[in-house]
Amino acid sequence: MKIIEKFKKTFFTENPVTGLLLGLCPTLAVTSSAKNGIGMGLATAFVLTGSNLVISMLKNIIPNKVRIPAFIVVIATFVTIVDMSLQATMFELHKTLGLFIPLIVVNCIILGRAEAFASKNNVWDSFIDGIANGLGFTFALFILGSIREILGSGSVLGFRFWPEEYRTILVFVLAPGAFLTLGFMLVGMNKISKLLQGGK
Amino acid sequence: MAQYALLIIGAIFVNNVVFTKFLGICPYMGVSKKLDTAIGMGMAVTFVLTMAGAITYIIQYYILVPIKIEYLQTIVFILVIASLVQFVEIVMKKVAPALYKALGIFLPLITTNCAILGIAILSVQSKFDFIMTVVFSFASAVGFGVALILFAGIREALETRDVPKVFVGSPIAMIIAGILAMAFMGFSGMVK
Amino acid sequence: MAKEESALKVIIVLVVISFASAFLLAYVNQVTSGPIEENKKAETKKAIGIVLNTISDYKCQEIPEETEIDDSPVRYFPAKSTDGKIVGYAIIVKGPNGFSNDFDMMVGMDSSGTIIDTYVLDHKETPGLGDGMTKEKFKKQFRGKNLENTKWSVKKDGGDIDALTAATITSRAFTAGVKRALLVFKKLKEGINA
Repeated sequence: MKIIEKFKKTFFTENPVTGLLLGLCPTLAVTSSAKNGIGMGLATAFVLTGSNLVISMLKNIIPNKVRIPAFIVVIATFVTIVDMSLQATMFELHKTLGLFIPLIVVNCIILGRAEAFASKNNVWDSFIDGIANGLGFTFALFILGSIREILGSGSVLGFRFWPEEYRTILVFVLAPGAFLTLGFMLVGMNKISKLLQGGK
Repeated sequence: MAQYALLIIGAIFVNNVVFTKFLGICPYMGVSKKLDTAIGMGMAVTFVLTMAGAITYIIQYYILVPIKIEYLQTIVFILVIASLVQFVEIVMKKVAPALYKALGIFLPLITTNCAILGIAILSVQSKFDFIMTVVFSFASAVGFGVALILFAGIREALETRDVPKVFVGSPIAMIIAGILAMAFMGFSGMVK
Repeated sequence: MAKEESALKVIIVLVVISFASAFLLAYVNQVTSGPIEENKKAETKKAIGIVLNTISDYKCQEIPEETEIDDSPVRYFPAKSTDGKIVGYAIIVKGPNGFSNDFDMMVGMDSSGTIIDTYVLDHKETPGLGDGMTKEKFKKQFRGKNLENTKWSVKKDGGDIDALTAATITSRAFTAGVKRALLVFKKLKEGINA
């Protein structure tokens, strides 16, 4: 099944974050909790799917010379829509994600997929590619966010592992912890990818 | 005068754009393998960031706010940055072709350097005036350069050392970045 | 990609895309600006409810009055009882020089200038360290204090306030913010009695 293959790739072997090392800024910045990671992931997935869709539809009209600025305008439009919609519907999440919502525009994953895939493939495939990569990104953010949240605050998604007074390894919710956790996660994901590829 | 000094020290050390604000990480990972490319990238980013800060300030307060189209901020800012980078590319090709070649794909990628868009938006959010915006942008870029050069130096040295096989490449890079971030946390006592 | 790339076509495409984008965004902006305003007002209302929680019957206007203290902007809501008397204030000040910039905080006090409670509206302080200023453990020491009965700095600086562990900078900013709010109250009271 082609779609399952695609998702296996975007979640593990070619995960935009752990496989291709794209979109690192928001990955490290908003994953101090699992919920923030998921929120950011889904917002990005929405922009990615939308921009892939539109760019694929317009691929024969946009002249080659100005394709990058044109892509950027499309992507930025979707990002602004997400920004305003979130502020109107999920005010708290919008405050938490803050600066990183407009920064979705420079998330290299989106421009990367537009350039590498959407501009060269048909609308349906580009749409699936957007969803697959968006969810793969969300998956990576969820894992990173969960690890950091469990080690750093002792709970995940509202489910407490131990009472608030117990000491936790605070550094994981802070900046250094983000880098360290991602480093170890990369090791883990590389191993899983090798297994998935070797086992075929 | 003192507030500018504090702003500069703050932006370079205490609130370093890479280690505290998590901006500019993609080029950070990509260009830090060799020391001279890192230095070249640092300089290019400093120029683009400072100019972007100045131009976006003018656009924000003289165009976007008066016409009440602040919601177009993201699009307008990123287009300004893209044009600036294009401009830098053209100039660099003529004036320093060797550096242009060495930076390769990473030069146009400065456009997607979240640090530039991020600092531009932050300056507006912090309600800095024109001079503070320019100083803040310049200092943040210097902070980026410092982080980049430190990192590149360490990575170059690592090439000749024994790293456990599973860690080779990006994992060990991340862990070093984490340790550097911890070191920079020590600066937080400096201001006040 | 299209094969013909005359300059005219390039310009037309870019202009059309830009216009389409601008129209779409203007539309979304119109649709969302109402709910966004509502959200902001709801948050302020919730904050006022928290900081004035011991006053039983009061009304606050929707739009705050404005003033300033220490060259820093202040917004405040006088809380009035049904017969128009002022029974308290919800004052929004900036906590200066926090770890990551100034932050907006609201201080609620009764008509004698005694603090009821505090609420931080918007901050980028460190999760796990600086954001402890929003937790009960830190907040409760402020209740019942006023400008005269307390020395307004952290213990480290010779004052009466217990700072947060490993978050002295945030604690100092918060304390300074509370002091500002109290000074605003004094200024307003003197203005009324003048």
